[in-house]
Amino acid sequence: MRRYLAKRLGISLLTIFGIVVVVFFIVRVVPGDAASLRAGPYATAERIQQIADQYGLNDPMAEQFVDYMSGFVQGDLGVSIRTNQPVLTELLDRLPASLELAAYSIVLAILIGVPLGILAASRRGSWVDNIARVLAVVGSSMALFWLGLLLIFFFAFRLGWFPGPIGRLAVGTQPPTSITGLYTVDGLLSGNLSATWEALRYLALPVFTLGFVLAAPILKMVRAAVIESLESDYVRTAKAVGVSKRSILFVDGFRNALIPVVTTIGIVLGFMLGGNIIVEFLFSWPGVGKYAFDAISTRDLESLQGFVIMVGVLYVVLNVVIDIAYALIDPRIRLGKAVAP
Amino acid sequence: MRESRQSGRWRSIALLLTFVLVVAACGDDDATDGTDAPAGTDAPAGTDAPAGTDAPAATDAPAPDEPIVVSLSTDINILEQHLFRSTGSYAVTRALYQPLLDQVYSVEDGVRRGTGDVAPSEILTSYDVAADGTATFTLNPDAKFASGDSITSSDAVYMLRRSIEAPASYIPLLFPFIAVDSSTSFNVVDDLTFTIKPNQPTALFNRFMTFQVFGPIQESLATAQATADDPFAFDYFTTNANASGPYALNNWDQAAGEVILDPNPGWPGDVANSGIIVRNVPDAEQRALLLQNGDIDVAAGLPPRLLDQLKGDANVNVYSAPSTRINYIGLNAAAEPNLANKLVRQAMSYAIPYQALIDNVMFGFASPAGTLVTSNMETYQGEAAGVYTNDMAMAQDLMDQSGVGPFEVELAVQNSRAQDQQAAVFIQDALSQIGITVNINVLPDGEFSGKRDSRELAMFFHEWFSWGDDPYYQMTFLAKCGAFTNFAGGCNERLDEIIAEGTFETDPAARNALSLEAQQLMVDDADRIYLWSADWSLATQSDITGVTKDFTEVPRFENLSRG
Amino acid sequence: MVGTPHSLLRDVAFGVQAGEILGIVGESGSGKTMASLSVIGLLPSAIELRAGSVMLEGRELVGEDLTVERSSSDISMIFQQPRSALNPTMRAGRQVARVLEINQGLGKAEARDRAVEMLQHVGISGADRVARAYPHQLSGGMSQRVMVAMALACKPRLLIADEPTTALDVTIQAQIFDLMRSLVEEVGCGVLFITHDLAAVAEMCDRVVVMYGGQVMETAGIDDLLDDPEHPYTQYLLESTEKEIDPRVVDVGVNFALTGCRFSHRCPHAHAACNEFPASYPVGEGHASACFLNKEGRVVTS
Repeated sequence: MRRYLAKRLGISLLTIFGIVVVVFFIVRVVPGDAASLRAGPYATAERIQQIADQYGLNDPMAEQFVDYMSGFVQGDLGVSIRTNQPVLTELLDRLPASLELAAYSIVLAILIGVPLGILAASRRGSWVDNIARVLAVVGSSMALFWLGLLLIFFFAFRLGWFPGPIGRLAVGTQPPTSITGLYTVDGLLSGNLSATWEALRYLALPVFTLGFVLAAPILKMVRAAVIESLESDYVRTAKAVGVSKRSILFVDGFRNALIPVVTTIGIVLGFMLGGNIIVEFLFSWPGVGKYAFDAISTRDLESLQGFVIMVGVLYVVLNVVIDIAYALIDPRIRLGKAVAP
Repeated sequence: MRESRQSGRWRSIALLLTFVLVVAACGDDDATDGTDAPAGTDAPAGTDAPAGTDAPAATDAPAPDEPIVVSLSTDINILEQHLFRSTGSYAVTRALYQPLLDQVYSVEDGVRRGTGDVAPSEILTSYDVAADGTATFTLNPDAKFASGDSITSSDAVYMLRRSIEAPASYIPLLFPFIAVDSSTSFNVVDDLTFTIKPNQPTALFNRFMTFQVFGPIQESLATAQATADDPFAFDYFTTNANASGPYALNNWDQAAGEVILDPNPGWPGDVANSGIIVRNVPDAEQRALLLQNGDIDVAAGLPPRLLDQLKGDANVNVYSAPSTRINYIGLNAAAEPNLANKLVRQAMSYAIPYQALIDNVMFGFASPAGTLVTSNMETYQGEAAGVYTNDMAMAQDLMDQSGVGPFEVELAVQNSRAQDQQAAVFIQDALSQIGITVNINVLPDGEFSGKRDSRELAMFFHEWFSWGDDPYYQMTFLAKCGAFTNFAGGCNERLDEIIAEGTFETDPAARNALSLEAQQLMVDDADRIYLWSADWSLATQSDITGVTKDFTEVPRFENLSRG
Repeated sequence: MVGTPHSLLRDVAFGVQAGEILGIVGESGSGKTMASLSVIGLLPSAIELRAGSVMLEGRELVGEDLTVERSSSDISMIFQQPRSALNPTMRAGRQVARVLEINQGLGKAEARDRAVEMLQHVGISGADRVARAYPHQLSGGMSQRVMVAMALACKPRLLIADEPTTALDVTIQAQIFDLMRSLVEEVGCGVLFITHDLAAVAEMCDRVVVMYGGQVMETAGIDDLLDDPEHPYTQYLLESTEKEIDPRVVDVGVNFALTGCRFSHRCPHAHAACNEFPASYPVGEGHASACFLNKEGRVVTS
C-alpha cells in the first residue's frame, strides 16, 4: 500500500509539473493583451510597452517560464495585473467559498443519485426505473445557467423562500469568525448558529442547481454499475446460498459497483472545483470560479494561470484521494499477492 | 482496467483544460473599449428577462438610517487614485478622495446634473484663477482626513507631484491638456494655500480640477508606506485609504466583493445617508431582479433593455440623462480598401436608420450622435455641420457616384455586447440596400480588443466617454493622427491643427468656430459612422433620492438618501 | 429467451434420489446449465420459464406465476469459475459465515468460528489464513472448496454442481470429486452434477441424463449408458471421446428453429419422422431414449 501511494505521489508531482508547463504556454496563446488593458484606454504605445516590460510580458518565452517556475516552487504564483495582489493569496481567500459550495452540492448529488440509482437498478424496467432514467436524461440536458435562473426566479423572487443571488450572506452581514472559511462550519465552531443558518439559506439555491444537474451522471453510473453487478456470478452465488434480496442489493450489488461510482463522483467533483464559473457568476458567489471569470474578462494572465494550475493541482489531489478510495473499496487493488496455494 | 482509468483521467484533465481555454477565448470584456464606459453587460447566454413586470415578492423596506446598498457594473479592483482601474472602482475612489473643485448642479427630473460651472469643493474655502492661468487654492481648515489629521497644502501638492512624477501613474497623459508639464507648476504658499501655475490658461483647467484623480493624499502616510521599489506607496493605497472625501473606508473584503463606506467625520460637507455598502453582482439581469426585490437600493450598469423593463415597476426609479458618450462604428480603410473611398463612407453614413437604432436597440435611452462632438456636447453645431440623417436616396446616389461596385465587408462585434449585436443586424440590412454585404463577426472580447488594437478590423463597434464634456479632449483621443485609440485610423491634418488649437483656446466664440469646422471635417471625412450617444442612467429603489450625474458619470454616493 | 420464438429447453425432465449423484452431460449449448438454473430458479433476466414443475420431496416449488419458490435449504448450487463466483470484496470466511448465519441461524461470532471449521472440513489447510483472505488471493481449487463449503452450509436437500471442476486442473479435480462424494454421503443430499466431461461423469455419477439442443436425449444408469448407449447422440459422444469423430456427423451447432428432434440435422440415422418431437421411449430398466429408432424398444446399433 505504501509503495502504491508513493508511486501515485510521484506521478502526481510529474502531472502537476506538466500542468504548469502546458497552462503557461496555452494561456499565452489566448488572444488579448494584458498590458494594454492595464495601461488603460488613454494609453500610448510607449506606456503599454512600459507596462509590458514591467511585468516581463516582452521577455522571451523561455525566460518568462523560468521566472514563473522559480516563483512557483516557492509558492509564488505571481501578481494579478488587475488588482496588484499576489495570485496565490487571492485564490486561497476565495477557495473556501467554492469548496463550501462544491461540498454541499456533491453531497446533494450523491443523496439524490445513489439511492435513486440503486432503486432503479433493483426494479429494472419498472415505473420507478423509468422515472429515474427520465430524471437522469433531464438532468444531463439541463444547462446549469438555465436551471439556476429558473430556481432564482421562482424560489427567490416569486415565492421569496430563499434569498436572491447576492452572494454568501446578506449585505453588510459579518461572516462568522474565520476558522475554515466555510461559513456553515465556522458558525457551528464559534457557536454562531444564526450565521450557519443564514449561510445555509444563501447556499440553498446554488447547491440545488448544481446538485440536481450533477446527480444525473451519478444516478446513471450507479444504476448501470449496480445492474452489472447484479448480473454477476457472485450475485448468482449469493442468491443460490439464500442471501436476502436486500442484502444482495446493498452488500453484494452496490459494494461491488462502488468503483465506477467513485470514479464518477470524482469526475463530478473535479468538474465542480474547476467549472463553477457559471454558477458562481449567476449567484454572485465570491469563489475561485468568479475569480477566473474576472481574470478571463480582463485577460489577467497571471490570475488565469494561477487558477488553472490550482484547479489542476486540486484535480490531481482528488485523483490520489480517489485512488486511495479504490484501494479501500477493492481488496484486489489493495492486496496484490495470493495467500495460499 | 487500470490503464483505462489512467487514460480516463488524462482525458478528464485534457477536457478540463480545453474547457478553460474555450471559456478564456470567449472571455467577457468589461472595461476595455473606450474608457470607463460601463460596457452594458448583458447576460452571457442572451437570455431574456423572465416575463412580467409585476413586482416579485419584495423583502421588507429597510429603515431610513440603514446604509444604502449599491451594485455597480463591475467589481472593485484597485483603490489607488492614480492607477487605471475598473469602472466600479472609480465610484469608490470618488467617495474616498475629494477633488479640489466640484461642479455646480441643477436638478432636472430628479437628477442632480452637473453644469459647466465649477465651484470650490467642500475642502476649499476659496478658489481663484488669475489672468495668466495661475490657480490659487485655499483649503478649509475644518477639512480633515478620516484619521483626523488636517488636510494641508503639502498633502495637496504632494498628491499633484505624485500624479505627474510617479512612473506608475497614468495621469501624466492628462496634464498636457491643462498646459502643465512638471511639478514645478505646483507650489505650497502656506499651510492652507497652494497654487498651480500652468504654462498658459486653458479651458479645461477648471474641469480637470473636478476630476477624482486629484483628491488630496496624506503625505506623511504615503512617505511612511513608501518602499525603495515603490517610492509613492502605490501598493499601500491599492488596498488602503486615508480618505479626504465624503466617505472613509470601513472595510474592503476583496474575496467577497464587498466595500463598506462610512461617512467621513473629517469631511466638512453633509453626507445624506448613514453609509454605503457596495456589493458586486456580476450578472446585470440578476442585479435588476435584486433591485426589484428590494435586496439592493441602487443598480448601475444596466443595459437599456432592462431599464425599459424596470420603468414599469412601481418600486423602482429609472433615472437617465443625456450624455456626451459616443457610440460609433470605425471604418478602417487599411483593413478594407473599398472603405478608402470617401463617397462610399458617406453613402454608408446616409444609409443608417439612426432613429430606429435609438428606439429599438437603445429603447430610447440615447440621443442622436452627431460626430465626435456629440449632440449634447458644448460647441455642438450639428445642423450647420450637416450631420448625417437617414436618407437612402442620398446614400444610393453617393454610392453610384463613387464608382465602387457592390462589395463585402466584415463588421466585428464583441461577444459580451448584445446591444451592438442587435444594432449590427439593422446596419447589415441597411447597407445591403446600397449593395454592401455586411458579414457580422461576433468575436470573443479578448480577440476583439486584440484585433482592434492591431488595426485588423475593417468595421468595428466602439463606445467612448470622455470626462469633462470637452470636444477637443474627445477628438484628441479618437481622431488625432496616430493616436493609439484612433482605431479607425483616419488622419486629417487640418483636424489635427484644430484640435491642437482648440485645446488651448479659451475664448468661447473661437472655440465654437473651430469646433464647427472640426465637425464639418468629420462629417465630410466620414471615417466613422456615428450611431448614437448613449444616455447616462442609474436605477434605484423608488424611495432613493439625490442621484447625481457629473462630468465623469460615475455614481456619486454622498447625496443619496433614503425615504 | 425474450425476443426469439424458440424454446431453449423442451420437455426436459429428470429426477434425483437422496444420496444419488445424477449427472447431466452434454456439449456446450445443450441446455444443461439452463436446466439446472431453471430448477433452482436463478435464470438470467433475459430468459423466462414458460412451463414446468420442480417437486422436492413431494412439495411443488414452482408457483402459479412460474417463479421458483425455493430456499437455500431446499436447493443450493455451486458454479464454474469459482473465483468469479465469489464476492471479490468480501473475505472468504465471511462469505461462508454469512451463509451459516442465514441458513443455520447462528450468531455472528459463532458463525465465524463454524466457518473456519467448515473450511477445514472441505480440505483447506491453514483455514484461519484462508478465512481472512479475499477470493482473488486464493487459487482455483481453494475457491471451489470455499464455494462447496458455502453450498453445503445451507444443508440443502439438493445440491446442484455446474461444471465445478472445469476451470481446475486434473489433480485438483480429483480432490474436489472426492470431497464432494464424502460430503454428499455425510449430508445425504441429492446432487445434480452438470458437466461436458464424460470421464468425470463416469467417475462421479450414479445416473446420467444426456442433453443436446435443449432436449433430453437419453437417461440411464452410468453403467448402462457406457455399455449400452441407445441414442445416436450418446453414441456419437462416446465415440468422440474415444476415437476420431464420426465423419458422417457434421458439427454445425444447434438449430433452435427445428421443431422436431434437434439432433436430426446432424444424425446419421435421421429420417422423415424426425421432424416430429420424439418422446422418451423406455429401453430398459431405468433407461430411456428419446429417439424414434427406439420406439419399439431397444435397438441393436450398428
